[in-house]
Amino acid sequence: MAAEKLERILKLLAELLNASGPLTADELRTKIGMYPENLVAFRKQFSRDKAALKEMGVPLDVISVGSSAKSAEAYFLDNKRYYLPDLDLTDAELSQLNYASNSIHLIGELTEEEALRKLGGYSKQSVDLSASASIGDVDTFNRLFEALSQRKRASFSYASKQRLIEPYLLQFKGEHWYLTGREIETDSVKSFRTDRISDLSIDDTFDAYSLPDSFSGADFSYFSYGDDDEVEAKVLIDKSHVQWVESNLDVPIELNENGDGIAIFVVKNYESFISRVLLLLDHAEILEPDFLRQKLIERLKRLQDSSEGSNA
Amino acid sequence: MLKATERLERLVSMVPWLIGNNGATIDELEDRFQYPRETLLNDLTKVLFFVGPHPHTPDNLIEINLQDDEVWISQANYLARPLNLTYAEAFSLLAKGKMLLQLIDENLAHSSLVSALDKVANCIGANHEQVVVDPGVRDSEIYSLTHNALLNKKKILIRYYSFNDDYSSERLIQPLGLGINDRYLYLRAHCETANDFRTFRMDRIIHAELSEEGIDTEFLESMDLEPIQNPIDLDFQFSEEGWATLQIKESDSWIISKYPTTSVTEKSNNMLEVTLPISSNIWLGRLLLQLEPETILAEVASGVDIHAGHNLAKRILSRYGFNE
Repeated sequence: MAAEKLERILKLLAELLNASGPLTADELRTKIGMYPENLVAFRKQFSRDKAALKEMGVPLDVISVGSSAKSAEAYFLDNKRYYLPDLDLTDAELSQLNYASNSIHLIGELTEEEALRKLGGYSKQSVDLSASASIGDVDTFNRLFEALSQRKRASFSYASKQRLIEPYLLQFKGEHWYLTGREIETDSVKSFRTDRISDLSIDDTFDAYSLPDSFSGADFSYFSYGDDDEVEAKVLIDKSHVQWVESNLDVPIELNENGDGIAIFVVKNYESFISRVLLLLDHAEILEPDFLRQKLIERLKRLQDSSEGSNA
Repeated sequence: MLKATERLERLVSMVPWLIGNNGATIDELEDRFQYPRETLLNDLTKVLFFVGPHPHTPDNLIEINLQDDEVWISQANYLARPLNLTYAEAFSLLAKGKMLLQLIDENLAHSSLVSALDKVANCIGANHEQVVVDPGVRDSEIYSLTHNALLNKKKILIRYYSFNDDYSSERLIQPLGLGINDRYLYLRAHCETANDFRTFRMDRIIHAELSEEGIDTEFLESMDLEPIQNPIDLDFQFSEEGWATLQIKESDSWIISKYPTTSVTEKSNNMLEVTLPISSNIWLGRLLLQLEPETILAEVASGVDIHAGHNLAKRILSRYGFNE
């Protein structure tokens, strides 16, 4: 039974790839000669076969043919979209892609074993490196990646607002994936957390925009976004925590003669900045400006007062 | 047993390769396309052999030539090229490749991975720079030293900062491999100080020195290294006994999704009462520092410091000159 199904779908694919124009379901039934006579049974089986091809990524399109009074659906494959371009992958390149596939785990139902078979073969390799990252909703990624690959505009709802975006890049950082692109309404480049995107739809028009000559992803210094007046904050960081600050707060640090660090942050959200500095406990100290230093002290004193008033 | 659709997917990938390669052994096809031998032979001789466009006469059916253990295919020009990658497949390959580039030393001439990613992106009209993975701590001296130790199989002496306990310790470790879990880069190692395997977050290694001593390959080979092959789990360990009940403001409800809370109830004063496991007193104090000052620490398990927030605030205030 499985062999018969396989042969039938392969024959369907052979017909579509060799067709000079769209073919109706009836024409395909006649040419393939393996579908049941009963019309309902044929429709069911034909529908399942089309679904199997589409699931593999076969670009099967449907158009209406015939007069408006007696039109029928016809199917065709755009061969240009079906065939993988000649990538001329070397054995070393294929091996490296296989190594990446074996080493990295994207958490979600995303697999590239099929992709590697298309490129010339998947191989299970033993690895000495490993990584994993959450991927979230695979369908969202699939469509966002299609949009940025084909330069199609994407519209979605984000933070209770409908957006129309020209996608530039997908970026993984800070446990999340972000989409960066130009928001048409505000003519500004913005970043959006992909897991907060909803009601996504992708426009049909290819090459609807051009990528800028250079683009960068989201800025993750949360405290540099906000409505507070911009200030430069100077923070003394103990030698023991310089490495952590450099890699977690994206800031260059100058070392003094003791090996302690001096970091200058651009701050536009005071509360967020103080929260970050407090993560360092007593291993860091805001030196300037004084009002930020006082705000931090005030916050700590309020915590102490509140502790005294609680069940403690 | 492969399903019909899985065999279909393998066949449309395998046939182009087989044609391009001008034949191959059954063993190689079995291995390269994960096609069980018996199914493969069956599909070649009893399925593919009967495929072709209408009118299915011998001159347009696919021709299979199977001799001994080798197979050749002809009359299948329309299957001579593979099906294009889907966007999801291309994205997955790019994301994984980019992540691997963050793990390996770019000086080690992994240019073939970079060029492969370029080709994969191009085939669906994208540019590989449109997928970005954060470099993390790769640029640091400690990263270079660790990489060097892994390559030369040397032990490392590290000073490691435990964020949960705000404590640093010196350890002699035998490095085994690097990994990324979501945001962070980790080093798996056998820690001689703890005499056990440990996973260290790279950004919390505050000092590292390369030891002259080589790693004990014989000893490590005798250990069960299976977990090393698996993705790295969270570095964050909650204690089973330690818990705390907090009353938090609505604006702090983010902690409910971030931590494994065991109960959440709404209180009449518009506060949420949340019970959650805690990792250490320092961890609890740090959490309180991040929450609104109106937060109430209502109850804690025995052994957990109900003054954790107060004491930590006091400690930080002393750095600012308040020594009451």
